[in-house]
Order: sequence, then structure tokens, then C-alpha cells
Amino acid sequence: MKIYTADKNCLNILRVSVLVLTFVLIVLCGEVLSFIPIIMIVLSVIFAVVGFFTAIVYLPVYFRKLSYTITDNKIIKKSGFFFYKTQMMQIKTIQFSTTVSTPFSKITGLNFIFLYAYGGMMTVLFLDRHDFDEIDRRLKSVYAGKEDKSVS
Amino acid sequence: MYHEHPLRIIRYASKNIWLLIFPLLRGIRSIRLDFDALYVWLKGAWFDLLIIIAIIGFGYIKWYFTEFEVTSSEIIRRSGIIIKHRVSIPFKNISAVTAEHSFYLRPFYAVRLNLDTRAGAFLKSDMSLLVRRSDLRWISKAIPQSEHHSGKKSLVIHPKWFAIVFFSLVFSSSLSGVVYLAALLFQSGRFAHEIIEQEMGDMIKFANTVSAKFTLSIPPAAVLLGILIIVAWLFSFISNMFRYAGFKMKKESGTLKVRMGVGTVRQYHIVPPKINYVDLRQNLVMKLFKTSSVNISCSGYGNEKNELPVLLPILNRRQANRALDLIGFRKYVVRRKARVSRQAVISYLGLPSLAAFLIPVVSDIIVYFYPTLKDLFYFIKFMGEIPVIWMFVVKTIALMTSGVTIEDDFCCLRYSRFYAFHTILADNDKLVKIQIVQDPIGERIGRCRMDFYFSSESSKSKKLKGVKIEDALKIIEHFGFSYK
Repeated sequence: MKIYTADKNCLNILRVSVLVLTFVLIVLCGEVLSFIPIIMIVLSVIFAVVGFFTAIVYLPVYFRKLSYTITDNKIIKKSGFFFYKTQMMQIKTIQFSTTVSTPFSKITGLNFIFLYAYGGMMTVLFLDRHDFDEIDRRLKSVYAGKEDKSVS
Repeated sequence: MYHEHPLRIIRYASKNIWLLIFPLLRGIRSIRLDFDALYVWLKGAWFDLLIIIAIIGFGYIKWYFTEFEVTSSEIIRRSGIIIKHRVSIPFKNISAVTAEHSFYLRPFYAVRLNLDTRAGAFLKSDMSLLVRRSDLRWISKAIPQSEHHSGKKSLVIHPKWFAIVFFSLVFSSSLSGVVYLAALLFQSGRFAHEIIEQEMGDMIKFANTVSAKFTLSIPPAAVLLGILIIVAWLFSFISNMFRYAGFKMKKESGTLKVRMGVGTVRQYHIVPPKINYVDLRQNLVMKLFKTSSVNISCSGYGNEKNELPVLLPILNRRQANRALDLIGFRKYVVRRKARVSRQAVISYLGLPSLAAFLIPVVSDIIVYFYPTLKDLFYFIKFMGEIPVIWMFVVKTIALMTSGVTIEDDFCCLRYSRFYAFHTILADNDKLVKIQIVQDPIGERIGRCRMDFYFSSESSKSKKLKGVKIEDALKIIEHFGFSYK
């Protein structure tokens, strides 16, 4: 059994991105809607509240709660913010998988795996490159009918 | 690592890039064959040409970065220029492999290959590749499900041509014809507008002529509607004929191979254990002739628009049972053990009876207030009653024939949906859920509706109405479920 958690670098990159996006939206609001001050102020406040809440509260909590436990026969995903969710998927039920990796993913941690099982799908998000490769190797060995015990 | 067929560049460039050919052709036609004229044309059209080159260039780059690989245990497709995608499908999970030899791809030696598993998006292939015909040969050898077992004992079922014609005839609908026509015309963009304008003008003239000749004074709008329905149905019929012509089903060790179509030849390789259930489908005409078409529910087969998951086109019950036996399903059409209650008349005939009553009443009310529309609404009343009476007959037969049988290892469910009769044959382990639905009246009189959910990509249930509650409880107990 091995527990994987979300990459901390990824959290910081997302937080900075959200704050930059919030700043851009507020500036745009000021530029475009300056002739309707009430709407401009209301929208700017909404953007600021949502942006800061996401960057300072939501993302850190979400990343802290996000974990993947891989055992010999199943994958357990725990996630959530207000409501905690536990998803379990039997490895033998996985029919196929899709992996997505972004440029500089070794630094950013923006690596994703989508697991498609009969009747459902599980997303494995924000993985460190090393963990991403390890899970990918594990899937390959499952597809080949051999068990990779190196991650157990 | 291999690239897909270079034709894929066009697909990646843009779906409707071919439309750009028309202004280009027009431009080429207008130029004269001398250097000065060409120079003048290029001077004016350089920007358009640059955009076309950019679109094709983008398609080329996307094609260049899309590769596929076949290993000993899986097939992998890699794509993406900046964001890298990789889809891996293990061979052991493939439920159907489809090779589509479209008539427009054949001159380029290109084949569309679709791979499906029991997971993924509904009505969409899990992996779709446009490959060279030469690549398809070695891919087929590598994928166990599509391996050729030449020389081994195999069973071939090749229906007669008249069975295909009859099948196309009974399963053609004007609705799918409309879908075909709409797709064809809308794909043609602005040319569709001109065609519709011209053709509609001619049709309206024709409708007026026909209407004038009829003694029943049928309004031209009704004649036009009738013509449109007939044209759409004919289109659907011809499309079905092209799709199912030359139908051949071959059973080899481990796979069922289905080949069909002229123009576009489709080859399916189906893995029998991945078949969820067998569906013997009938409409009223087929019910009267005691024939049915054998359909299957299997991911990747019959998922496309206007495509039926047919395994054997037209068979009577004895032939169907024999064919199922030869194929090795070991599931047969048997007599019903739990029947629908004969008193469930309202459940079956309530809706068509109400519609049959309401159509003339509403029509007469409208005519009372707008007498000028009398001819039109008499026609609508007449036309509207036909499908309602048809449904009344279908539901009457459904009341007599619906039911369920549970054997030790499989279940046989007979029910009706809209105008079709279905007989589902499935292993018990493929039946995943049974739901009992009772409204207050049903609870009072001891009847219910049973919803059967089978393993399948979609979560559609098979509804059996008017079952006595005690029969329903016996059925679910037989499956090992407990109630209350």
C-alpha cells in the first residue's frame, strides 16, 4: 500500500495563478465598467472575494485533503472541501486510462491520470512527476497481467 | 511508434476545411492562363492562401505529434503538441474492434479503426485512428480480438438478399431519413440554402398540382408534408440498404466477425464474453410474420448514429434459437413464466386510447373556431389517428405477450417500447438491478412496473408494466434480492 498526495509546487502555482487572474479581472473591471461605478465596485468585490477565498482557503484545504491510496487491488481517492468524499475503484475493473502531462510538469506538478472503469471514472490529479510515472508503471504492469510490487 | 494516415491532417486541420475549396476553385476558374493574370490573382488572394496554408500547417503539426504504438499487451495513442495526452487500452479489455473502409478513404488506402472497451463515453469510441491499410494488417495480427484464424473451424451466417431488403424496409424510419438529409444539407453549408430554395419551390408547385387533382381537396401543405415524409423514408431505406448490404456474420474461436455495407464496408470484431445481452427486436409487421432481428448490446457495436446493433437481420424464433445455439450464447427464447396481468389494460392501452379520443376532439374544436382550416385539420385528424391506432394494436399485443422468465443461469424478458417489441436474453450476472415502481393505484390493486437494468454503457432500463406484485416479488427473490 502506498499513499500519494498532491504536489505542493502545484498548489503554489495554482494559488499564484488565481491571484494574478483575480488582479487582471479587477483591473479589467475598472477599465471597462468605470462609467457604471456601482456594477464595477460590486463585480470587483465579487472577484476579489472569490479569488482570495480560492487562493487562501479553498485550494490549501482541498490539496491537504486530496490523497490517493493504492493497494494491491484497489485505488482509494479521498477529496473534498465542505463534504469529504471517498472513492474506491478496483484495479481489475479499470478498462483503459488516459494520462495528461503539461510542459514543465516536473516543476509544476500538473500531471493527471484518468482511469476509466466499467460504470465510472476516477481522476488522479496534481501528481508529482515521480508519483505520476510510478502509477503509470503500475498501470502498465496491470495491463500486461503482471503485478509491479515495487510500489506496494 | 507509428503515425496515423496522412489524411488525418485534413481532419485535424478543420472539420469543414473542404468548404474553402469552393472559393478557391471559383478563383482559379476566373483566372486566365497567362502569367500577368496569375500575378494579379495572387496579389489579391495571397492572404486567403496564407490562411489556407496556416490551417493545413496546423493540421500537419497536430498529425505529426499524434502517434500510436502497439505493445504486446496494449495499444497506445499519444497526441498533443504542448499538453501531452496518452491513451492506453489493454487488449484484454477490448470489447469491439471496428475497421471502417469508407468509399472515400479507399482510394487513399486509409481505414478508420475504432477500439472500444466497456468503459468510457457512451456512443463514442474509446480510441479512433485513421490508419494505412498496410498498418491495419499488422495491427489486426497484434490485437488478439481481431486476429485472423484462417484454416480453423468457423461458422458463417450470410443472410439472403431479400432478408436484408426486408430488414431495411421495416427498420427504415422517416425520422432517421430526416436526420440523414439534415446532416447532408447542413454539412454543405450555404449550398444547402440554394438547394432548399430551389427544391422547395419545385415541391410546392408539385404539391399544388397534386392537391388540385384530388377530389378530397387535400391542402397543399399536407401534400408537401406527405411528400417530405416519403422522401425522408426512402432516403432512410436506401441508406439502410447500403449499410447492411452484403451482411456476413462469422463465428471463429474467441470472436464474432461482422462485415457489412457497400461503398463503406464496416468490419466488426466482437468479443462474445463482453456482450451484455441479446435483444430480439420486432415491429408489428415482423410480429405478424413471427420473425425478428437479433441485436446485441456490446460496447462499440451499433453505437453510431442511425446504426442498429444487429447481429443477424431476419430470423424466425426457431432459426433465432438455432443461431444463438450455434454462436454459443446458450440462451434461448422460452415461454413466459411470469406474465403481465390481463387486467393491466389501462397501463398498456390508456395512452393510445386517450390520444385517439383527443385528436379528433381538439381538431373539431379548432375547426369550430377557425372554419377556414377545415380541410387541413381533417387531414391532420386522419393522419394523426394512424400512428395512434397503430400503437393501440402494438400495445394490445404487448399486453398479451409481455412477461419474464427466469432460468437458473439466464433471464428472458419480453416487453414493448413505443412501437417495438423486445425479447431480452441475458445471463443472470448481467442483470444488475431490478426496480419495482408502484403508484398509489397500483399499490391498491396489487400491480407494479418492473424496471430491469442490465450491464451496459447506458443506464436505460427495460420497463415491464402491469406485473402482479406477488409475481414481481417471486422474480426478485429468484435473483437473490430481498424486498421489504
